[in-house]
Amino acid sequence: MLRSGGRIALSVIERTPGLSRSVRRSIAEAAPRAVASRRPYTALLASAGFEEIGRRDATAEYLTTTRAWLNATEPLVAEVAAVDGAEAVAQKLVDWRTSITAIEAGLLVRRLYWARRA
Amino acid sequence: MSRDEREAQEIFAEKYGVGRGEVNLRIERQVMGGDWGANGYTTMAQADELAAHLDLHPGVRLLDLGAGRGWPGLYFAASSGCEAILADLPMEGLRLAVQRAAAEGLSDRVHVVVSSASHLPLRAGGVDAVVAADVLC
Repeated sequence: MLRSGGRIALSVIERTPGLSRSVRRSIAEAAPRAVASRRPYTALLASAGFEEIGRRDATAEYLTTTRAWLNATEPLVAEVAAVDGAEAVAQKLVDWRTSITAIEAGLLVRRLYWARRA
Repeated sequence: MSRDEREAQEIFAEKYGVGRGEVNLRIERQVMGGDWGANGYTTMAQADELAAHLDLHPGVRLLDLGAGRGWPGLYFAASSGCEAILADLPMEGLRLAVQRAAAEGLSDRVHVVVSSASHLPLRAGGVDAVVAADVLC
């Protein structure tokens, strides 16, 4: 649906390349849903007819933001639980802590991509 | 709809259906510097960076894939003057986005569609820009 000459911009979370299969499987629990692409996004974009493909690593900011969500929510758990439900909040905290561990271990990266449709 | 899409729809329908509450808005403002419906990792600074790459301005029609509650498409419509089509599967999040668009006076430039990315009711070449923030992982 994107017109010729139109632009696309993505922010994605990816598994660090070159990991073993067992480590990749373990990341499935650490990563947000749908960390699944096996091909680099630059290759995916090129094969889809995009050009002028750019990329920037945003992993450090990903770690900072994940910590920020955790640190901002933890002191307010009871209040958030009253809105979202205790189970949902508890899961969020677990997910953020797991992601932080995975990012710090170099297992997850986050990148910004942009390109123009030929 | 694929199994993954159905699962995502169920998970996020439950998540968005409870409404936000003032506490969640406060947390989002603290973490993101704004309250445009963000719940992921695309900060406002990164959103501005993506907007620059998309060359957003009045007259541009933007498609926000996986828009959730409206981030970042709503913000782009407000900050750049573009038209934004917010697409996602959970209707609950898009309902919140519609409410926010109305509150911001953006209803004439913000539209929502409940659809997966693979079945969008848009004609070929119908949009000028596409953004997907923390959706295509």
